[in-house]
Amino acid sequence: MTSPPMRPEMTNPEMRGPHLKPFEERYENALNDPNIQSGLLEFQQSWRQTRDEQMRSLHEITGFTFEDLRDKLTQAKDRVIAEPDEHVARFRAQIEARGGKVVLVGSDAEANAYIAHLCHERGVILAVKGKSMVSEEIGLNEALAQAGVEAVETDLGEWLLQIGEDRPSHLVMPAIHKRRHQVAELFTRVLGRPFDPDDIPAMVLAARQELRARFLTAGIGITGANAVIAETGTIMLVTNEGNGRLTSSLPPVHVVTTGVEKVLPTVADAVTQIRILARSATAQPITTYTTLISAPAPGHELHVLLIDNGRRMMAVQPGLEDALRCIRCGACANVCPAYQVVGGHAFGHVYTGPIGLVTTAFHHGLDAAAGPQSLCVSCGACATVCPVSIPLPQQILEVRRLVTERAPSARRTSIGLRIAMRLYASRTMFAIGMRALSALTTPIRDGKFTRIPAGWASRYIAWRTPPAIASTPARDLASDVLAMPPPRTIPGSPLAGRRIAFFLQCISDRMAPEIPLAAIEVLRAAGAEVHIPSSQHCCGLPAFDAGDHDNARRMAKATIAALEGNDDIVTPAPSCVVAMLHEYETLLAGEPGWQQRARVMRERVHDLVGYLVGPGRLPDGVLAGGAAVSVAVHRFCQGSNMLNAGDRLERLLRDVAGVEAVPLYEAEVCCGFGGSTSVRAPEISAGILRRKLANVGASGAPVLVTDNPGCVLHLRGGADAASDPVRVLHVAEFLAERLRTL
Amino acid sequence: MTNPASNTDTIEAFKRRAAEARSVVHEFADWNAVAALALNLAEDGNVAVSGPAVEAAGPVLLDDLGERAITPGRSHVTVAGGAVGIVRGAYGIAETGSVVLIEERSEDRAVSMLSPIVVQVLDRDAIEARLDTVVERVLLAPGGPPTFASLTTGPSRTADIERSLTIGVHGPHEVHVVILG
Repeated sequence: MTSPPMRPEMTNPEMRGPHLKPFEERYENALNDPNIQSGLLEFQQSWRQTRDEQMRSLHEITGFTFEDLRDKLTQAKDRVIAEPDEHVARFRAQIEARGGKVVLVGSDAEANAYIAHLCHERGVILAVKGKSMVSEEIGLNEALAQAGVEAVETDLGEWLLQIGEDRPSHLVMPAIHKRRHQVAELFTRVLGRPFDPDDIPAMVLAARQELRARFLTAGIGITGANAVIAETGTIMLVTNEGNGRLTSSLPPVHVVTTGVEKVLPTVADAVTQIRILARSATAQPITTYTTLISAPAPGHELHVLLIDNGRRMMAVQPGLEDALRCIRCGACANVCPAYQVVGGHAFGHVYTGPIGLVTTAFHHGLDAAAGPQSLCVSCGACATVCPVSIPLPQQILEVRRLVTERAPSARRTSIGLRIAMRLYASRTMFAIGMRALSALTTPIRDGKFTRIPAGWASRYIAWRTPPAIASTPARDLASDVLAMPPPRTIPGSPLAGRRIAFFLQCISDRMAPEIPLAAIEVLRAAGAEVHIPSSQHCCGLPAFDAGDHDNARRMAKATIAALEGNDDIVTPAPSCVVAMLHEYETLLAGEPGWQQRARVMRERVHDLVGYLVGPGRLPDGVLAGGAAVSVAVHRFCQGSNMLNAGDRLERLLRDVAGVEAVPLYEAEVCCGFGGSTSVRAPEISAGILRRKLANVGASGAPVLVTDNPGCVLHLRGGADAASDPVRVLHVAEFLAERLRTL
Repeated sequence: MTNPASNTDTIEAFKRRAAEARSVVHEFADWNAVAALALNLAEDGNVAVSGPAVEAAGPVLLDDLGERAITPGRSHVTVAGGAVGIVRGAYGIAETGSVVLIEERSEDRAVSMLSPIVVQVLDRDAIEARLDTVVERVLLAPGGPPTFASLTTGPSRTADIERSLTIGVHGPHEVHVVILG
């Protein structure tokens, strides 16, 4: 496949746009600010609850489900992405016929120069601003200050950040990283009178009084736009505070700064957006004000700047063009576990949250996206709440690939990464390395853990005890087991006589052989004929996840060659299944022969739980004997978000083992393992792990069952390091234990 | 035309959702009652009136308000000094509890934006069930869309500090919706 011609923006991937502190400093600052983690945890948990309630009542009120509206809005956005010029022309003709002026600008500098020039021409020295992410994107305030124009933010959150010389950390709730006592301190300092942190209404009133005079005297009002309706030539502005209406109405000149992607074809599409935007953003049925501006007020001026600044380049990037659908609701950040740990200053650039990891590459350069994108744990939660179906997890990985291949700032780490992945991709090198590591760590092996002396690499291991490296890998242990008949049998299973090509997973093979062995024990007891194709190694996910597609492709092909045939392919590792089902298609694009082999193989791939509740469904109650036990289930995040796993692990335990899992709050939220994140940003993994273990502790269950080996090792090591007594088991181990008591 | 039974449902739903959005809903027979409400809410203050409100009410409204009226077209600063604003609601939307304001001139918009307490006056038969019906009627009007239309749903609010809901920021802290007739 040929790549589309690169625009200058992409061939010059260096950082551009507003000046921010370096990523490393923002990350460090975020970790050292305890207000962020606590505030964002409360925020995410309450948002999730109210948002879900809103989506339930949506159907009752409108007759539409979230999915209905999401699909409608997605289609509307896609029509504009496909034919932007036609829609822009329609909008322009309509609003210009009524006296508005539409200006198409290419770059941030052009937009800033236009507005500064307009201010000079009209003799304006004070501008009031409604909340506009585009104005942040182009650095408008700084540019106007240089031109001698004071631009005052009027959205409460934006204003308190402006007077505190801070930046927004969220698309919708810009000051969500600030706690009330910090705001009270700021107001006390800047306004010169005392404020009580618990009297938020007094702080809000002070902002009203401070800003009222500015509204009445400003010569120009600058707002963004939530949508631009082509059919009628209308700007749609959505606010709660009322500052958007004031900014657009009181000053004699109104300037709108917005991206070309905000254009919607029809009025009906705008209604769809109204219905889904507030519910997704602030979890309200509708915001207080939805303003529809179709002409300048009599005697006033209206200028609409439709800004490109990298958008047309996004539209021709395969796999990334869908990010132009974004309506800036911020829902993706509100469910992102990594965002909760560090907030938007680190998890993002000017644009924050998961969508920010993607758009930053285009508006502010690949170098600006390099640091933030490394924090994504690939849990997939963001895509499940996106009201315009943006495939964010795949897009973030695509940006990661671009960073690895092209970002100047990432060159050195990328070379190291490629060498490491090349070695990892070789089954022989991997085996030699692991054998050496196992021998080396024998003296400090302690059951399932490696006890590395305190002080060593504590950033990586203090919060999570590393697993033991097995002296004998699962593949060797299994061949002994398979040489003998299964010790126990489960009667009445549909698996009798069925042939299974078993995929061990590289991590389990060497660090948790008990997991594949337990799975094999259960499958054989159910009558399956299990064999382990000997040339299997790693599915390629670690390299894919790290943005190294060359080595990922190498491993994917080796895995296909090892597993293809007529047998069912079963693995205790659903993460590998996600890679095989979802990522191989992307990875092997341009190689139709391999893609076809991957598709054929895909039909036969099952993760253990999917298999045991699907084609290999065990009879109800066959493992129901044994002692009563209180069990909580952690739902593997990618299973929930990408495989639609739902409650199938709980069902398996209930139907087959007769065990009713106790409720676990946030069961489907990531545990923090996150592949490369544990290595690149261990503090993120550690923070997410704390959240998970706190929820597990609150459930009261002494046993935690889950189905992805990476999560098992991560949770087990985390519990050990925290002296948390919870026993973490892979579902295969749990079932095998029940089997042995029969 | 909607049948009377479903129209009652629509009005009940409108009242419920407007109240959920923290508007205070009244049902009055005439504009005299509107003026009385505004004067009462204003205590010793003045009452600003928008052009569309005077147009709909006729002379009765300004007569009742007497010298405490801030008449249409006055400066933003004068309007901002009033205690209550009376504006005309063009439509009500039961789906959201919203009142649609159509305000062409900046001076008229100031009444609904700068007054600390706003009274929105709406005809009973201007209340529609669905959002799409109203937005399409407003924007796809035969003469083209109005200069400036707003769906307003309760008083101005913010949750920018710790996501704690606080009523009354830049717009009114109190909104009264009067269903007339």
